[in-house]
Formats: sequence, C-alpha cells, structure tokens
Amino acid sequence: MKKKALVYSKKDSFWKSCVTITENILSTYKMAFHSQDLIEIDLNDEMEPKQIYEQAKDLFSKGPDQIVFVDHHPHPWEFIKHLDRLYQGKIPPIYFHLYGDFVCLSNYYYKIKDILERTPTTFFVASSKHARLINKFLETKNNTLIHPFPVNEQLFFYDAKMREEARKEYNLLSTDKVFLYTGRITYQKNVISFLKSFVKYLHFNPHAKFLLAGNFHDMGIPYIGKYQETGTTFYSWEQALYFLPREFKDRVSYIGDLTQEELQRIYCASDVFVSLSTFNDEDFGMSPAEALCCGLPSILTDWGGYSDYCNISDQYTSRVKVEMGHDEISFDKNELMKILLKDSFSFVRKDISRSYLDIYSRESVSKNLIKCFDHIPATPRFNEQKFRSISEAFENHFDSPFKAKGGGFNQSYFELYSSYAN
Amino acid sequence: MQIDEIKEKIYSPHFIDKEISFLKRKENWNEFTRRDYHFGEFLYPFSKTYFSPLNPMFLHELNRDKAYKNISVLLARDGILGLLKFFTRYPVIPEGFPHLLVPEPFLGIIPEDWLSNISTYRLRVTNLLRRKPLDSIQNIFVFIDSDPLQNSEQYIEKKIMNLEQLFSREGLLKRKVYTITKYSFDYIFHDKYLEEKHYNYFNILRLYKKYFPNIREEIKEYEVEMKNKSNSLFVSISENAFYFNDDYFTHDFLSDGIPSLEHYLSTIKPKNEIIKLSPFHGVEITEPQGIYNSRVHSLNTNVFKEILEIEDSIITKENHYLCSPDFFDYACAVQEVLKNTHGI
Repeated sequence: MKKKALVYSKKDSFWKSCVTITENILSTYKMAFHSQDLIEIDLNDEMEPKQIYEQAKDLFSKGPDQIVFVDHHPHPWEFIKHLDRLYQGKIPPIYFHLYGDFVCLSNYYYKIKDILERTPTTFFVASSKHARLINKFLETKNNTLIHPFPVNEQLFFYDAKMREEARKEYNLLSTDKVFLYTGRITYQKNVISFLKSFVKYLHFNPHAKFLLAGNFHDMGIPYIGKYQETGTTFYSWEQALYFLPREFKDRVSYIGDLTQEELQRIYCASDVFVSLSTFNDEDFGMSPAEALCCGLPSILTDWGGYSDYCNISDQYTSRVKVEMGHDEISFDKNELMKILLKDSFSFVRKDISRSYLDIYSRESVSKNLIKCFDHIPATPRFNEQKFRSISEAFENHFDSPFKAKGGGFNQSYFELYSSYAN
Repeated sequence: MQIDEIKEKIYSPHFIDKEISFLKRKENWNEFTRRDYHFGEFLYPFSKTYFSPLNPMFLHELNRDKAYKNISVLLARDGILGLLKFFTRYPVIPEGFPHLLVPEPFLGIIPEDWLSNISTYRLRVTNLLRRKPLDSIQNIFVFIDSDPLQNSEQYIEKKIMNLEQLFSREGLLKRKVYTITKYSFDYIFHDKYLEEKHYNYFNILRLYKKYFPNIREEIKEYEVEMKNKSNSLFVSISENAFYFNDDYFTHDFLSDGIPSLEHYLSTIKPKNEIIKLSPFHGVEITEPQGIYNSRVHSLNTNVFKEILEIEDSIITKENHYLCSPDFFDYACAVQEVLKNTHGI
C-alpha cells in the first residue's frame, strides 16, 4: 500500500465549518487506509519559517509516496517550496483537498505554479460547480476530482424520538411548520432577505415558524470592498424584527450558536431547511449536507455546492434561481414565494436521510476516496492568463479584488463565478 | 426618554442613512486633536471603537461644533474623569444634545439640570450566553489596566490570587492564560516598558510569576483576533472606572458568546428590558431615580474656573492627556467620594 503524508494544521481553524470538515476528512483517511500507511505532519500558522522547513524535512525523511494537503490554512506554498528543494524537483504526487477559498488563495497557488506544473497534482473539489470554477484556472481537465466533504453519520441522521423531544424543548406545537437556517449569519447568506419573504408567507400560513441558529458575522461583500462594522449584521436582524407585528414576532426566533449535538436535535425537530446563500466561498455547504442527512427537505439556492444537493433529488430539495446583479448576487424572491406556497415538504424523513447519507456519510466518502487514489495523477497545465490576472487582483487589491471601476462586481467576477450560478 | 422611545429611534428605517452614515465619517463629528490622539493611545486597546446603535463613544471625541444635533442617542464610554470634564464644560444641556446614556454608578456626578436628558446603563448578558463546563475551557483571557487609578495594587493582587485559587480548584492551571494590558507610549515608541515609569505593569508581571509561575503569556490586541476563542472565558479586572467604563474587549468577547468569569460566579438577571448589542449581551437602561450627590457637586464649584485652563494646559504628566493636573486631582477626589458613599 502506498504511504500517504497528511499535512494539516493541528490547530483549529477560525472557521467553525472548516474545523468539522478537516476532522471528517481525516477520519475518512483512517477508515479507508491502514494507519501504518498514514503519516501525519503538522503545519500551522504559528510556525516560524525555520519550523516549516523542519516539518518539510521531517516529511521528506519519512519517504511518503503521496502527499495530501488536508487543510486550507495556512497555505502550504513555503512548505512545498522546501519540498521541491529536498526532492530536487521530483516531489511525489500531491493532492489538495480544496475548500471554498481557492480563489482568495490563488496568489499563493500562483507562487508554486511552476512546481505544480512538473508534479503530478490532483485537486479534490467538494462539488461539481466548484470543479467548474477550478477548471477555469486549468488548461488540463484531468486534475480535478469531485470528492465531497464527509458528514459524520453518527451525529447527523434522523431520529423520530429526538424530534418529539426537541420540539417540546423548543416549545413547538404540533401544528407549527418550522423553517430552519443554520450556519454563519452574514450578508451574503441572505438571511434577512429570507426573513422579509418569510413574513409575507406568514400571511398565508400563520403556523409557519422561522428558527435561526449560528453566529452573526460582519463580512459584508469583501470581494467588492463592501465591509461592515462589527455588530451591524446583528443590528440589521434586530431592526428587521422590531417592526414586525407582535403576532409575527413570535413566529421568528434566534436560538443561538449550537453544538453539533444540538444541531442534530434541531434538524430533527424542524420541517424545512432553508439556505439562500450566494456567498462566494459556497463550494459545498456543510449545513445543508447535515440537514439533508437528518432527513430535512430543503430550499436552497442554485448556487455553488448547493446545486449538487438539488441534482441528487429535486423532490427533496427545492432550488431557487440566483440573479447575478451588478452590485449584488441575490435570489429570485418570486420563485421562493412560489415554493413556499406550493408547500410540498411532506416526505418520509428516513428516506431523505438515507438518500443523502448514501453519498455523504464518512463511510461512503471513504469508499470514494479509495477510488480517487486509483486515479493516475497527471501534471497540470494552468491557464496562465487567468491564473495571473486573478492572482494579481488578490495581490494588489486584496480588500476589493473583484470591484469594478465605479463599484459593483467586475467582469472577471462574472466570468469566474458564472460557474457557481444556475 | 423611555426604552421604547430609544428603540423607536435606533431601529427607525432611516437610522442607518441618517446617523450611522454620519458617524461613519469621523471627520463629521471629531476634530482630531493632539489630546485626542494621546488619550486614545493612552487607553488603547481598551478604547478601540466599535459599532452599536447606541452610538458608543468617549464624550470628548464629539467635538465638532453642534455635530451632536445629528445624533439621537449617545452612550458615554467614559469613566469618572471624562464625565466630570464633560459636565463641567456643559453644566446645562446644549440645545439639541442627544439623549445621553451614562454608566449607572455615576449618577451621583450628573448635574441636576441634566437629569431629564439622561438614562443610565449597565451591561447585561442574555440567556443565550452559555457557561461551558469549566473543564472544557482551554484559554483564559485576562484584561487588566495596570494604571493605579483604574486598579489598585492590592486589588490586582487579590484578583490574581482569587483566579489562582479558582483555577487550581477547577484543575485549570494548565490552561493558557493570555493577558491584555494597556499599551503605553514607551511601549509603542520603543517596543518595551520601562520599569521606572511603569511600575504597575511590572508589578502585574511579578504577581503572575508569583501565582502562575508557568502559564503567563502576554499578547497584543491584534493577536486576540487570531486566537480561536471557542473554548475560552475572560476575566476583566476593573476596580474603578476612572478613565473608562465601557471597554472594547468586554463588548467584543461577549459579542462572540464568550462568557466572563463573573458569569460563572453569579448571574444577575436584568430587571428591565435590554437593548441587545449581540445575541449574548446588551444594555439595560434605567431612568434616573433622583439620586443627586450634593457632596460631589460641592467639590465641583472649586474647579469651574479651571475649565478655562484645560484646553491650554500643557501636557506635563503622563496621566494628564485629558485635562490639567488640577482637574485631574479633582477627579481623583470625586472618585474617592463616590467610593466612600456608594462603594464604587
């Protein structure tokens, strides 16, 4: 069996979903391969340049056949440069588990472009639309493999008893139809836009209830230099709630930032998951994956990684079109309203859960992982012009890399992210 | 102004366009002076600005002529010194001045004429703030202002000793403790503290060595952002509120749902409705109950004349960035009176 070096940060990422993703990916390696064939190498952002070199030397001395970069942070470009010198230009095949931030990190990848172009390299991407986006940077088409992020099936599955208990815990009536959003709450996740549509829907269905879980963040739209002050997203939420009539106010609740165990309970207790994100890093969507594995029918934007969930079953999911406007990327509100009013969310929860766990459970993903490593890796050839221009945009205008003259998104953004749209 | 009226104003659909946009351009309301710079730096990083619809700021910052007319509510982050200076300069309410929120313990220094335009505030946590099991805590962040007027030596030692006792009782002694202290000019300019000038800072280090021989780690405020704070708690050591009452880190940590040690020891439920600043904390607002401390104001008459000198006074001592030395001494005396009468 080939020995694999797994390079990742043993220090947790700032991004909560990335902590879960990295843990789950590592567990699939342990499920798929013998532990004696796995070498773990720490690469974290507290390391000094000398320590990074020592870690590269350590990896080199252990002689792996394949090198896998599991984590997204810190970017391993310096580490790979050391490897290139140690291996005298002949690094064994490299595998990157790409996260949603590939585009933001393109200037780092560009620094090692020459090394990658003479090293067999595979990019594991979590969804088909992310593969489309990554392929825009490549001339060769056989360097990306779709390999979804795994979901912990021991935590995320449907449990009818848990549903009963959790509905009591959250004071939900049997007549309440609970719409749930979980995840980070930022501008590009469009939670407040959904709230406005939901309030209109309440006129037709007074039994509907919207529960919101997650952390408020103030990212704005950094790609075009629209930054928010800390606290403004929460303020916008409070402001939106303040003017609701009392009877509607009671139909909307923020329930906090939940632990994984609490998330399972609320997924089981709810009736519909809804996420209308148009965030630029939405390569996969951990929350919808977990919700669907808990058998929760979902309303999702046809955007980035979300589209794959809809492709698996357009019965269990309802997709909402995305509108790529000059100033913002939004969802089709009329289509959302039609979906809400159609109200076709009654399914056997276990069936939904089974359909998605068959693809996203760690066991299923680990089987796919074995197949991915059967694939013979090839050296990539990058689209120099595209790669350089995006990389320079981040190098020179990190605070607004896709801002058009006069504001809004530029052409480069539309060219790249059209791969995420419908 | 009742809380409902405040809410009506701050959640008004035009609030962002009118007030937030106005305040976002600091030059609209702040004429940046040398004293501003020194005071801001002196209190940094506790004085870092943050957004809240209650418009939190240090009162001396609002110094453009009549700029206050564009604001409906203002939360004073000041301690005793800043408030005294403000009320000495404005013994009566200037026309069009916003509704002012002042820290509850300082009601005694508010001139009677102002009471109709004042509410008092206290920071409160909501029921969504979780107390994680202490054994899951990995990082402890301690905020200390080493200035003796904000924290006396005895108080700091007592608090650090209490921390050590709690940590050893709960088996937390192997956790990482990060300390954030106030910068000083010497630190900013020379990248080091000078012991003869910053005795209190060095004293904190000595106390740490005494009580936590192996685990002290000092970090700068920008490094706080880089730490994963999910399994953390914080301790704010604050005996007095001489220079500031509302510090940036308490707001920042509570906004992220990080509890303070206080919340492990006791939870005070707000009596009134709060205005939420995050899902986890907010501000309880109360109407003044008519407490008026004549003794504090009898001191006041002695310094009215000095106010004229304040603007022109030369910065002679490190502590006097905000006012003249005489006014500074007056503020110290007021702090003593408040301590003796209200136990503040």
